[in-house]
Amino acid sequence: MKQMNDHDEFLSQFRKAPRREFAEGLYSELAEQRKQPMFAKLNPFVRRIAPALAALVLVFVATVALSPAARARALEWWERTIGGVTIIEVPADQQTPPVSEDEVTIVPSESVTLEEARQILPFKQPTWLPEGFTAYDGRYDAAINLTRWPLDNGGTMTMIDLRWESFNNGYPTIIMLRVDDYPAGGQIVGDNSGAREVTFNGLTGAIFKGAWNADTGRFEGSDLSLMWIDGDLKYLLMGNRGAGVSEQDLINIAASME
Amino acid sequence: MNEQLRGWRALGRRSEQADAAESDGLPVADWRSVYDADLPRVYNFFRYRVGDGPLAEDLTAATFERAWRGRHRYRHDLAAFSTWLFGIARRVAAEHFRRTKREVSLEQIGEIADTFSTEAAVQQRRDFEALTTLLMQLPDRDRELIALKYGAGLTNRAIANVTGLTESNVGTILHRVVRHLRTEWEDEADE
Repeated sequence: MKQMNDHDEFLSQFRKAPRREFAEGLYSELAEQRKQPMFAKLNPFVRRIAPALAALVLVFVATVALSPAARARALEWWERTIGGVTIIEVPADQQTPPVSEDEVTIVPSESVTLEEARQILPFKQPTWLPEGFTAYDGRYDAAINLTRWPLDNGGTMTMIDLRWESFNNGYPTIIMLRVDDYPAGGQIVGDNSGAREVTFNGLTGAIFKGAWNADTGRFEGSDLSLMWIDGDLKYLLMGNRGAGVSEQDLINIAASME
Repeated sequence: MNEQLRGWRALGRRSEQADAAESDGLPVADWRSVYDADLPRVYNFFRYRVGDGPLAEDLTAATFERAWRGRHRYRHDLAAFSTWLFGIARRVAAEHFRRTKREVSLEQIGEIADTFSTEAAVQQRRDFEALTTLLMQLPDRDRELIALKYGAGLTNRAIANVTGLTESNVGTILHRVVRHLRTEWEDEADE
């Protein structure tokens, strides 16, 4: 029969240790996850195109930042200027995309050479990169992308993406540079981005972390971004902290731009 | 600072740097101690929420997997590690109840209980089934507080941090609920 007492032991007496098999199995599972490289969970084909997938994330984030509907909704969000660029903070845990898919304009991009790109937008290029990084050779998709986005005012925003990659860790790590001629355009980030101002070479910019993850419905991840305006152009550098690219790396790259 | 928290933080930082690298040298022992200390607490939290059996294990695993994936978001300056972890456990429980639309029915309690072989264990199992039946009849908030206090073994202050209630409020509610449960428990024992 149940044992009685004057206090509350009758409630805590039923605690018990988890089964050993369960405890050890779960621990092993977590330990295994820790060992897996970022792209190891992907199938071989997807792993090969992972750099391109990362680029798509960037495209999406830029797209929502430009959508008129997104801009309208942004009035309800926290918009502020950090380091001279417009940062729009939204709840990181909102579970739904910052804007719905029907509010997103899909714009095709085209492949251009570096010379062509610099004729279209006279942007600066980094003279320093972390050790092991070389220009992406375009073996899976365009090495340098040119995209023209329609603007609300009838004009066009021209945007150019360049990438560098490293295989230091046995898998592709990328650093991306995005340049556009629409400095007024903002950037949507999660409210967990830790956006803050940084200074380099007499310029100011905003550094922030994370990106929208449609699978989890969150702004998350260890992507790092540095955005700044230089002249008539807006620059965005992006790398992955989990893959070894640090904030200081991004700042050093930005400071080396000529 | 708690050594376990330091270990978790160190692990998180190191892993951020090596998320994609198969590097060695992680403070595995620290992660192990964090895991060993908190696994039984989370597991028992769920046992007191959903009863004994595989479901409690599944929800425990979901909590640790989510905590592991989100370890970069743990802010030691905002909350103790256990507060953060039990915040995740509460969300996992809430999502489970939303998904199933109902909690485990009273009839199912026996079905999901573990199988024990010895006579004493069988009695223990019956007693826990009886307690679970009583817990299932409590309002959700009260049942959660009981699970945090007597399943996970958290202090009233820790429960206050996890739930957002004041410490005195936690104490008052628990005092009332425990008194009610003790009466019910004694009535059942007398039958």
